[in-house]
Amino acid sequence: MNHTEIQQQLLRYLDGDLPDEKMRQIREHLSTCPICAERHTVLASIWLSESRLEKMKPSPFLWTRLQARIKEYEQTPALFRDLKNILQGIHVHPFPALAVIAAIVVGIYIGTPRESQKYDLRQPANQSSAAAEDLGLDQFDVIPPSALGTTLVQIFNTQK
Amino acid sequence: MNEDDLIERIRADDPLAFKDLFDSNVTLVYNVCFRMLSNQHDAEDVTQEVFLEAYKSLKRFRFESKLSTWLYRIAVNRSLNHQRTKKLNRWLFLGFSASEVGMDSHDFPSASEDNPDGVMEKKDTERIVQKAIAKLPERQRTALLLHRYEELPYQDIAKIMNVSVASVESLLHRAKQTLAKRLFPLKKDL
Repeated sequence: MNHTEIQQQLLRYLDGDLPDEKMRQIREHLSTCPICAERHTVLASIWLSESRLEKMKPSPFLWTRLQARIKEYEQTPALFRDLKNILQGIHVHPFPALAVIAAIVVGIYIGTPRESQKYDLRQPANQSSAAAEDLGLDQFDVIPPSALGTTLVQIFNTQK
Repeated sequence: MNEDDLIERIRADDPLAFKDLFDSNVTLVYNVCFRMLSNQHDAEDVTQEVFLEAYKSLKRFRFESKLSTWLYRIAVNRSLNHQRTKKLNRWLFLGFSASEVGMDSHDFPSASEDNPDGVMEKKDTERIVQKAIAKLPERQRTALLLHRYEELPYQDIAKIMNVSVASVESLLHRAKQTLAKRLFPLKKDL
């Protein structure tokens, strides 16, 4: 094992949760390597000195507060309780939800063609001829439906 | 109190059984939440949530696992959810009132001016360890906290986290490797 491997295993070595063979290898390495030995001493002073078994005491009023919550829960009609549970399960956050709604509204606004009133395609053909001319659609009026493909090839060749 | 007796009383709809369940497990649940969240107020809020959820779903509990394992699982999940929500809020509100929503304010006992040097150093050391643990990835941190502070066997941690025993071993292994790398410079800078 090299220095890096030894140093990575030091906390497991301190906890004694390595196989016997690895424990022996590290022990031997530490007795000969001052760099790893220093690291071992420093880590041991942190890892082993922490009072990890000290238990914190919660507030003595926790039960009273919990009782109030339980009472509130019991008084809520079953339908609302179920609905609340479903909503809690989905984890709806108001801010992202509003952001999504705003994005949809902006998307619809941007995507709506604002020229639609100018070229109202619901008008009769004779009234919408100006609009069709603007769009260059009048060229298609003279083309019989069966010859559409041939005409397109001709237009393409002309432009070329 | 014997857990089997408590289970029998819960099954028999004893009205005092839930209070006994609370009394015998509140310290356990609170400490898990506190270790996960590093904040007393948050830990108390989540402890309440844990017992409220336990109350709601006690009738559906099949008593296939230990009550404490079940409570541990709810506590871990609730704490993680709470933390994720806080992180999201912090991200959304760009750190406004960071002290209120942030994870930076660890409530672990801090060194005060009238502390003797030795005690002060010990407290500083504890804060270093907690800070380093708090920065671990979620699953590694959960496994480490349950193993190191609750002294739970791998099998129980696996049940609580809903993973295999081999995964728990791997998570602990990686957590300790990361900590070994991070703790040394922190202590040297002290």
